[in-house]
Amino acid sequence: MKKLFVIARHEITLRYWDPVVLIFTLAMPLVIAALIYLAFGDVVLGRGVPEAKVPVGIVNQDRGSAWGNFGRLFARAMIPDPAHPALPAELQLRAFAVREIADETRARRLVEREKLFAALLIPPDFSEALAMGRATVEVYIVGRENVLGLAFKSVVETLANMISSGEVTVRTTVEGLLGNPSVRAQLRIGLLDDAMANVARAASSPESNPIQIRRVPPVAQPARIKLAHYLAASIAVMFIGFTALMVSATLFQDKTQGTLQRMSITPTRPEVILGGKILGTYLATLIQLGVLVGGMAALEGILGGNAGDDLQAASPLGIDLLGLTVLILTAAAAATGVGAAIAGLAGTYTQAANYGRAFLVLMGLAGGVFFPVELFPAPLDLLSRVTFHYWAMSGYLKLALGSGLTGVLPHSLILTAMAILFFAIGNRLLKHRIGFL
Amino acid sequence: MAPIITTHKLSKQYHPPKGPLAIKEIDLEIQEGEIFGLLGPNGAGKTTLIGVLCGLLPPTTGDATIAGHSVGRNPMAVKRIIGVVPEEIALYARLSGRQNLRYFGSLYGLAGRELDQAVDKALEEIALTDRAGDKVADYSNGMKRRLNIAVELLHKPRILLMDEPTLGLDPESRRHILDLVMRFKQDQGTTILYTTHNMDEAQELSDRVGIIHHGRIIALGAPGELIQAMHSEDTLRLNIGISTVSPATLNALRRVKGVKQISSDKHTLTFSLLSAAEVLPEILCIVKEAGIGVRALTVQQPNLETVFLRLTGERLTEAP
Repeated sequence: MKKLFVIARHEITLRYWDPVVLIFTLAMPLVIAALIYLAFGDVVLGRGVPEAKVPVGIVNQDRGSAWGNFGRLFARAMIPDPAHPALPAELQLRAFAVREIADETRARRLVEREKLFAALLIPPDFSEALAMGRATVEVYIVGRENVLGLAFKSVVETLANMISSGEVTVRTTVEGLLGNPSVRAQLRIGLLDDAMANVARAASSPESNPIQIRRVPPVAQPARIKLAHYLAASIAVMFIGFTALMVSATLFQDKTQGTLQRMSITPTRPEVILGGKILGTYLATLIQLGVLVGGMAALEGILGGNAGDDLQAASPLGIDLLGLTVLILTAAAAATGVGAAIAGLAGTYTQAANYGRAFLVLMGLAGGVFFPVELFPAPLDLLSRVTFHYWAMSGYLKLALGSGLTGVLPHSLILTAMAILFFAIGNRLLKHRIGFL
Repeated sequence: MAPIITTHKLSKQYHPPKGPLAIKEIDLEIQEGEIFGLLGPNGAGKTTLIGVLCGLLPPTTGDATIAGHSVGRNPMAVKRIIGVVPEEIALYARLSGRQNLRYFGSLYGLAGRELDQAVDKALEEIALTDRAGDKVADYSNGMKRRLNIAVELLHKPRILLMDEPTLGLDPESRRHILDLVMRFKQDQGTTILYTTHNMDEAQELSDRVGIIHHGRIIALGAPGELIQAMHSEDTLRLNIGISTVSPATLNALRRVKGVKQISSDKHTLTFSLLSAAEVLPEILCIVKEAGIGVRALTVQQPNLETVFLRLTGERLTEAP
């Protein structure tokens, strides 16, 4: 066991004894990150990467009134129905994936957990209040930079303004609403005309807006992702892949110069030699990842310097340290496992270096290092799941958005499984490649 | 006394069943404290035999035991008592001499003060104490070779397997290493298996030699015994420049007792003699009387090269 650590320590010494290696593995990524920070430091991605349709929710708790259930009408108006468009095209409701949620608490929780960008909450007394001339709905948004949530709010405001800005607007809305079968049902029982008349009366009164949009500030605001952080994370993940190729470098270079044979002649078991070399690579990868994450935090402090900004929370040192530690440990293990498998497949250092790097760049591309995977078409999106880059990146971003250890546990478990699988493959192939091990 | 190294019908084939048979049914016994020279040209199987003995290569057939431990069945026990000096300089060039020694010493199970002392002693043995902190990349070839040996001294092995340790060295560095090997035997009683294709080295160092050719041991014994067994003659070469040798002079030379054979070419008279020391004065006298000027004279006594030539029909340095 002691020899395992002797070999691992030796591997790290060998690696970091070389200033060129230090420059390429530690300094260069930090320089790139610094350049990116300077170029994109203020660009914010919002909640990670925008999706094709923005998920929002509507909770209609309206009990209705003698005049009808206007909450239901309001809700239905928000849900696009291609056959019976309830709203004019300019409202661009097609951009939103609206779902109805029965429970207000659940809707708030979904927004807080970032499953939804916003939730429109229609209160139980909405119809009664509207009939009286003044009603309030709530759009629940978390975070000032939640641009898409704010866009949804503006849609709701537009709808509310259309109701409140006079008879024509009301009619327009009513016309739109009339397309809805539910509205037609209400009309059949002769309630809606009176209700709309009431709304029109309210609209012409001095009180400006019968439906007021109340934005509730969040209790605790989770972090936002800056583009610089996203790219910095991707650089770190990309570079640990290259460092993991050290498994092949150390094995094949040692074999070529005879030092591996020399080690094998000492009373050291083959599995200890191989294990020590892989452990050394793992520790070097960990060191690199630690230095890069810490270095990027320092960079943000030096280059960003905007303390008090809620973006500060996205700093690597501002996120859950336990979750970050577990993620780093497992991501480094998965990367080293991949490095071992590449070494086993390659057979020579040149092959490992050339094909290995190309393979890692492809894995990085598929794993979202260069472009967010959300932008990929479906098959590529699935492919990303088999890369350690994806799980490390998405785990990191999740942590940066405020998740803790439990949030990245699935990521860490998958990375661990990848590490075990690739180590097993690498171990088997390397024993075959290097006969005396 | 039981031999410390024994091989019994030891064979090694690379990539069986069609690959080359590098060593073939080698039976060998080496006594404790002995320097055994394994002499053979490149590709004869010397390095393969060392590889099998140290457990780096599994034998295809047969077995070898070192100090009673089977190389195949108990390799760890064997590795604890042997040191192997490889043919190539197997060191980390980016690290210093001391760092290299400390690393390999740790793999031999040394630690703490014991390791420090072993490293210091090894550096002293090879006269590299002053350069211990320098990078190996900055060492001369001779210094690297010495450090290559020093690595295997750290754990005080009972048996040292040395594969061409003087390869590519200048005479001075070579001398240094030969003296070192002699010291191991004299001071520590280390058993040494020393492979070389340099007959002078083998002859100088070895108590016994084995001549290996195409994977087989073709001769085994003390160097003097082997040479004697070949009934080899001394060779005398006279460089006579542009002088011509008359048939009468040649006949006179052939009649000298102890001259077995004479050949002449443009500038050289070559004699095969039973003993050059005994007949040389008479030959020189005849040559002088014939008015032939002698520009240079060489006497070559039989050696292991001659033995190898006799046994294989090839010169040691020319054999593939």
